[in-house]
Amino acid sequence: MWSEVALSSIGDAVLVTNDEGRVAFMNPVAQTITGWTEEALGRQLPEVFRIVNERTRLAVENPFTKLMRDGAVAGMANHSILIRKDGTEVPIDDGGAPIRGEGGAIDGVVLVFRDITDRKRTEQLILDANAYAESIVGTVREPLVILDQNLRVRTASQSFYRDFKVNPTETENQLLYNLGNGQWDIPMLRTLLEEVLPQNNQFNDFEVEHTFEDIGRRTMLLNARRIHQQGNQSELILLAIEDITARKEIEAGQEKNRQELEVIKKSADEALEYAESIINTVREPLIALDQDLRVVTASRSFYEVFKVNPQETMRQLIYDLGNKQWDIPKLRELLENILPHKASFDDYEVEHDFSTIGRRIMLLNARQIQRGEGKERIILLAIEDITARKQVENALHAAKQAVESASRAKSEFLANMSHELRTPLNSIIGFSEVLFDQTFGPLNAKQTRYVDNVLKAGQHLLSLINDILDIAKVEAGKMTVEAREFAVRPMLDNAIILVKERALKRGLTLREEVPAELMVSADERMLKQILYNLLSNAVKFTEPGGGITITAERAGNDLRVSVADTGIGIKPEDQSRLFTEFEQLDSGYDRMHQGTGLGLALTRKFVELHGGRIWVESAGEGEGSTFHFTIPLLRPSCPAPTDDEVAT
Amino acid sequence: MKMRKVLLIEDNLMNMELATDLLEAAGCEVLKAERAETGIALAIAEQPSIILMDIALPGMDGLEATRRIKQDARTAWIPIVALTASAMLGDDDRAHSAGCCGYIPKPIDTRRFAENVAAFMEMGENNADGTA
Repeated sequence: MWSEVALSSIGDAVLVTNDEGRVAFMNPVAQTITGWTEEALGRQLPEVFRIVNERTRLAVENPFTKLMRDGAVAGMANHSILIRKDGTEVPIDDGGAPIRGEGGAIDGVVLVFRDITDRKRTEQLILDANAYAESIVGTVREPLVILDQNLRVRTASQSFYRDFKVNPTETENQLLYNLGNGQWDIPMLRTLLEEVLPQNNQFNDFEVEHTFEDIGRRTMLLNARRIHQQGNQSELILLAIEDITARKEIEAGQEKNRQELEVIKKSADEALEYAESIINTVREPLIALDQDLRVVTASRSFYEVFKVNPQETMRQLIYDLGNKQWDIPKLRELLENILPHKASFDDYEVEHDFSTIGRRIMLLNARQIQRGEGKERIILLAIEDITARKQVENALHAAKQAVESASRAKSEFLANMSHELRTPLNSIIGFSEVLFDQTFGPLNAKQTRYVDNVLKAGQHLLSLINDILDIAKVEAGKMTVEAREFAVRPMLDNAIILVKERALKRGLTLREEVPAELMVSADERMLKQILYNLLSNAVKFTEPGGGITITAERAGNDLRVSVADTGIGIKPEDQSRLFTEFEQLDSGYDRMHQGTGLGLALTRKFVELHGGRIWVESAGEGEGSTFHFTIPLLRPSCPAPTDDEVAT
Repeated sequence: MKMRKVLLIEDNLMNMELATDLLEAAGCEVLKAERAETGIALAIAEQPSIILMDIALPGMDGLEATRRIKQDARTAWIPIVALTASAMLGDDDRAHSAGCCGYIPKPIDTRRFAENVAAFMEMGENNADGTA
């Protein structure tokens, strides 16, 4: 029968019953699904076609009964499980229709069903996938809203609720634009969802700025995908809303930084330009090297001084400059060994023979500079040609040495002269003294006077020699102050003793006004010499019957000593000349009693060695004179004892 | 009291005569040497009570002669007094470090010379007594 053949070949299972509801026909698909074969024929339908509700597990009404009663064509119904002959279960969709014979009477029913295991599995997969997707939606950091095709919210992620301060109940099933009191009715969003998305199925990274009531102005980055759901023909819109306000602020900050950096870089460029203009204007030759020691730039003065031109200099290794003239071992050492460790060096003197310009002495200064942001190093090398300066310095040094050696020679000469002069003086003074003393026999009066003259001349010569020697010592810096602390009065007494005899002989009165407790820290020998010189002069230039007064006192931090006489006095115009060598005033005085002309000069030198000063006061000729000098009470080289030292 | 022997080492003959006359007048026996080497030999042979040493001498100078006399056990005890016209600072120090016990600058004070020499001699004798 053609109909059986046809039914056998179709993809769906087909089962036909007779008018009593007994199985009359099963095509091979139906046999496979139910597990029944020929033995099913003639059996009651529910025996072979056992179906239960998928969810309730209750037996579904016999389709034969249903069809016989309703007479309707039943469509494929879902959610049915067929229990097969062997007890296993198969999900099926089924439908059926009555078979009407001639005259409209129902001859039986035909059931059509299919195994929907695969579809069921697929549906489950979709459900699982949706659940999975929703759990992703719920957990992602980025706010996500899933909309249906009517733009109502199906679900939204936790982060959406959190970030936009809304809650699920006032969100789900709401039209997106109505969310949060119409806050989401954003024109740009409308455009995107209603115009862009339907055409492109997606949009990417649309930046939308909007002011929300609750959270203020926000910048959002919107991404959307239109998702077709296979199962139910519906459509979902996945809208990802990233709040990039903070990021934008950071970016703005970065932009600001970048702009500032730009400004800095610009000013760095300007500084660089400035630096290069300096390089070109300074008189001192400058050369800038890169980290491979190749010339980046050089100053005009570099080219001028070292007689090279820019073409043979730029980009050259410094050592190769001017036919390898710059391959100087000391320079290599500085650039390769010292600079990497120190970043700079100062005032290295390098002497080198250049074939073009001859032997030169150069003073090298270098700085290692980090140029720009990168790791690029620039070495700025300043090369000062100090050849001429050195020559001057050397000449000065030689001159200074010559002066020093001349001074040394002078001192040596004076020492030798002193020795050579004293040796014959020893005989002159010694023999005349012995003769004068008549140790070896008597002399007559004239002989005695003559020999006394020889003796006095010899003694004068000796004091000249002594004074010259002392001045030479002071000038050679060989006379040093050996300070110690001592009482002024005993020292003064000792000096007075030396002139007392002469003063008494001339009928002079000596008065001394010195506080017993007065102490000074000084070179006692020199101070005694100073006082002796002043006293000798006072005695020498004071007429018989006159007087000499010596006072010593503390004047601030100084010791002040004055020697006043009632003698011949000094004209004001002569007072300044008094303390220079060989300046003797024309006093018309017996030349044999005159001094060497060095006494006051030496006295002044001794005072000055002590850091003091000496001066004279005289109202004029015949009015007497007063010599004053001051020296510090304490020598810096001889500090006062500290409390600690006192304690021990 | 035994005659004190003074060894005078001096190259200037006039100064030699002056010192000799003054010392002999004070009752000393004076041994004379114009050169350091002769002086050293005389010191060893004659064992004088004191040596008056001129520092500037031809050949070996007075400082070196002093060192040699002080290093020789036979003469180490003899006091040596430097007699010198050199008045530069430090001369007395050099004389002392060479081994001189005193220093008489020239020109000499003829009125005190013999007296000064006697004082140094006594100093030396006391030292010698102490060590004997």
